[in-house]
Amino acid sequence: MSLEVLLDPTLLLSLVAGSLLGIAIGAIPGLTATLAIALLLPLTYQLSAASAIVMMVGIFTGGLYGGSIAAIALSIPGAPANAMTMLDGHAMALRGRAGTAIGIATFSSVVGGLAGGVVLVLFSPQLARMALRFQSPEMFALVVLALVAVATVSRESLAKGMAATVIGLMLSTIGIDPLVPVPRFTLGSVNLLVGLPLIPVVIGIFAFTELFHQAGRPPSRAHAHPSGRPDGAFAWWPEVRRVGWRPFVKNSLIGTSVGALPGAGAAMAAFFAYSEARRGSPHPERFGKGAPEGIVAPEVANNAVTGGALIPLLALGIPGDAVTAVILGGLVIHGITPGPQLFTEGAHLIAPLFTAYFASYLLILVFGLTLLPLYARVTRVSKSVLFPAIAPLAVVAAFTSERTTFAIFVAAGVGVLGYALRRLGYPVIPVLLGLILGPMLESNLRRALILSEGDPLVLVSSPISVGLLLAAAGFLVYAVRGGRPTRS
Amino acid sequence: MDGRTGRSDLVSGAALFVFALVYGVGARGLAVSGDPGVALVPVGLAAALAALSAGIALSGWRKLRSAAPASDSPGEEGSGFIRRPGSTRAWGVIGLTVLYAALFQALGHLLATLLYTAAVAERFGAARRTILVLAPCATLLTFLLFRVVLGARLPAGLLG
Repeated sequence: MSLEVLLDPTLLLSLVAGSLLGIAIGAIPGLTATLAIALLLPLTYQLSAASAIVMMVGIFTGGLYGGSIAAIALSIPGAPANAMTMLDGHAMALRGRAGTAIGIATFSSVVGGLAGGVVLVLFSPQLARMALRFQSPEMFALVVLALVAVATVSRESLAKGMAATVIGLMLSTIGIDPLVPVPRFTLGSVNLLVGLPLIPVVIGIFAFTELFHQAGRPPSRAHAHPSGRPDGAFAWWPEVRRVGWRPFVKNSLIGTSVGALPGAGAAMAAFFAYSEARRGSPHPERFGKGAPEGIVAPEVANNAVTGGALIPLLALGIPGDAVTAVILGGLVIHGITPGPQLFTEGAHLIAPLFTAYFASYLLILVFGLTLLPLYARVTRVSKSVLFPAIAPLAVVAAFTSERTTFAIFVAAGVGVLGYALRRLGYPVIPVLLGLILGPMLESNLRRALILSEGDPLVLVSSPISVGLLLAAAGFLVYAVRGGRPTRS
Repeated sequence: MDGRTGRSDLVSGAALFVFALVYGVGARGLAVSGDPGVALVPVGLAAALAALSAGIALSGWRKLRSAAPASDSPGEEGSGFIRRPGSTRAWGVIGLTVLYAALFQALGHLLATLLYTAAVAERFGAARRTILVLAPCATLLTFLLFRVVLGARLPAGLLG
């Protein structure tokens, strides 16, 4: 770990700005940490790689925490991960205790986030060291596992989740072949020779899909706000003491374990944690009516996920969910390739990243407790103001990323695809993961086949690749049998 | 409900099947480009999508058949997302976004953004007074953020 982040004014400013922007955007219903990073990526172009990483960490953690504010104050979760927090948080807010509920959520988020950070620091270098021994067959099996896991945990049907993944993989085949200089599916366009530009695609999938989706919903006036002003700044503390330390430890373990699984995510962790808290409670009837334990469990777990989710991203270069996929895109743009080499060749970036992670949660504690009235105001913005303001931001962000109107057309085209898929019941996140992981899947598969002179058994030639492929098969069997966990 | 899901599954499955065939034909064409490996993954993906989309279409057809006796009304909700309520607004915003992209260079960032924001806000049901404030503010925000803060070169268009 390094204190560079805290002593370097540029890094500290990047972290504070990222954290504040993340919280503010996450607190707006319908806007998630993923969208925040996607929209703000062009902002990091002018920054150094270290500053960009630090800012993205701030947006990531701040955005996840910010989602709980909208869930509690408005009963509209900022992200699916905050849906379980809404049940007891909003019930508490309706009784005039919004401040207490947000205070509990803030403290729980910080505890969960710090626990996830400890796991990140302890395990990611070990995993990276192990991954250095991975050859093409193991990397291929790992990507297969990640893609299958993401496809099977999608809310929608298994076939639709897998079809969306295949569509993403197909999009990744556009451009020059990864091993041989042959153009594929470029339709004669010079712009497509290098493939689909990542940032416009990310903006299209998250910003435009959401814009078009919201445009298709009935117009709304300002959101209803629960009665009562935020109560005392520390009214949450007696409630936290009453809950005790055990739920914090238990849900931290749930969150970090779920986060490290590719394809799982904060929403699933929150769902498991909440169900487990209610199952193990002597008073399950209090859940859903403003029980502090119902806020602690999902918030500790979904924030603990952040540390866990960064482990496969940093150590293996495999994003486990949408937000880490977008972070991966951001890192690649800054010339940083996550994976085992990051811990050797890019070691100078790891220390600021870890420090920024912990510092971001301390900032959440400070901002969360001091800026409550401001956040409450942000959450009241009507969607008829919010989305028209975001729309030009998304378009100009896409244009700036490539400095060509072609990027706007790509973003809009991907947005239309995302909108159509969403309306037809297909998940869109596997499309992005397929697009990002496609080149890794294809180049490792073909390299393995070339080295083995075309023998496909090379893919099951090591215990690690066999284990990973069996795990992928296990996910599939579990999903086919109907055990697919649903995201709330 | 089953009928509507069934119809959208049938339509989307069929559309994806056709797409898989078209993509597959293109992928097979790559095999003659010198290295057969170039077509390996695309052909596999086309086959996978064809199988999955056929399954989705078949399941939609089954749902449709099981729902048919329950709802015979001819005016039932349409097949896909195109005829659902609110879709006109969504497609309107899509059209505006494409138009904005097309006119971005010619009109310039300021003028195009001003008109686009106002039109999108109108589609979202914003009041006229709100639009009059929102459109210039959002335009100014994008200009300040991308031109002033980031130093990005935005097209000046007619105002240049």
